[in-house]
Amino acid sequence: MALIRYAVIIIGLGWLGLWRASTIRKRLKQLELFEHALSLLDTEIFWGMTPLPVAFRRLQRIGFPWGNFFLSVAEGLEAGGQIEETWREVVAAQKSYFCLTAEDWELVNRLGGCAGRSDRHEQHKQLMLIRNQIQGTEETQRVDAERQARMWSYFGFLGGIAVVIAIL
Amino acid sequence: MGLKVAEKWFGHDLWDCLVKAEAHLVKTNENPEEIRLRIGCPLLVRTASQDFFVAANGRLVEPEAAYRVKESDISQVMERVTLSSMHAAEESLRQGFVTLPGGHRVGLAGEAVLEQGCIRTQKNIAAVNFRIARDPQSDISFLLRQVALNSQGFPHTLIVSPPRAGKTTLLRLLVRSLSNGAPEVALPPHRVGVVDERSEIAGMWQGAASFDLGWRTDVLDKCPKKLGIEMMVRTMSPDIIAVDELGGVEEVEAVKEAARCGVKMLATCHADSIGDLTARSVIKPLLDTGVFQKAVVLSRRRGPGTLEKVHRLGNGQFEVRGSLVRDSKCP
Repeated sequence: MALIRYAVIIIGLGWLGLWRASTIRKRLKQLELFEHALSLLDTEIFWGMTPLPVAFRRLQRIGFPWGNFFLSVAEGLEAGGQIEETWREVVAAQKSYFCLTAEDWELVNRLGGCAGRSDRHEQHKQLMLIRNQIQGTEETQRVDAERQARMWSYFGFLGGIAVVIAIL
Repeated sequence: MGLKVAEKWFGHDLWDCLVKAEAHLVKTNENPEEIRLRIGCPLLVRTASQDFFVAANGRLVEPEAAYRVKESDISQVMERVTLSSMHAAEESLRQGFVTLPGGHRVGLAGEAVLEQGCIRTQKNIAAVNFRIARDPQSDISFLLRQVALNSQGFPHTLIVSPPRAGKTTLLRLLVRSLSNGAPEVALPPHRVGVVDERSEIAGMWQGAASFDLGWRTDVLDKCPKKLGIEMMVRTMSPDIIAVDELGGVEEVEAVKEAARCGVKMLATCHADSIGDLTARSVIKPLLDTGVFQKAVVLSRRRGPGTLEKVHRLGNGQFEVRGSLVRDSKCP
């Protein structure tokens, strides 16, 4: 019986470690996808002069979770919502589907604050600025993230073993 | 069609007034045509024959007691009609109107921003005119008999009227009939090209037409008439090209050129009568060359779309050779 209890502790903490590691990897992937979405949005705004609801609907193709995020914003705007308010509501409703940090959300919300508020040249500049910041975050995080993810995958199991030893 | 069509485009405060006003407007038996917003001025709903000032409780009152439009009301309308996309509305702001789904139009007046002598955009929008579009399905076969029956096919036709007298509506009805054909008057179907510079004829919104213009109609949206007419002739091989509000020298030249290419023209023009039309220096040369063979004159005498006269025009001859139809109500 005790053996089963110890196994559960090790597997449980090990699973937590793996979950944390996958969160770190997913965050980077989600930032990459957001940056890709911004490049598509830039094309829609600058070259297509596409209204935001239509442009956001077209971003569905980038897949979950950003595709759903932009679709919800598009639906909010089509229902007569204002961009900043709609953006805030969708972020609050869908935050749990993402693995982003508070700093990342600050960047995401910056888009909600400036999208559609100026002419296409100004929009292009704003989008480029946010993209550059995301690329900067990605570069600094890429090496760290892999190291941290590996650490967390071991950490869970080792922590579980340490707890079992402490109990013994 | 009531005010309901405007619900999506107004902020809460304004819509609250308008939705309450709807019940009072119904009693007047008149269709609202325009909703006028001017910062600091009373909220105004305009029907075919009257102006109504609307109070915060929806009652139709004197201007002094009416709801005063706030700056925030206008900015909410702007955000909604541009779909929070100022970048996509640049051209609309420059031209002073936004077209909405359903063909409704929002006229805008603010502060013009000039660049090299041309209007680049508008800022500080202070006045909004929400114009409610209607798509009447009137039977115009009696008019087609007068206009369209001609041994050489459909004649070059000009629709003449002062503003708000139904010329665009009549143009739309004629385009639909010409495109689908009208067996009852032995009118065969035609390929029709519409050059819709102000998105008023087809009410195009995101590539889809708000109004039915027939099965053989191609629409070139938001394109200057001169370029559009040339493009249509070259690319879509139309039998007839329809344009709204002829007025520029270049447009007149393009019309003449298209007519020389064997394409029939259907156009509208602002004027009170044929006499006034001939006094317009830009249009007169077009009449002098005898391009247009028929002119339909509309007025608001008995409401929008009152058909005053159908004139036959000849080379430099503008006089009425017979009032073919008079006092009929058209669209």
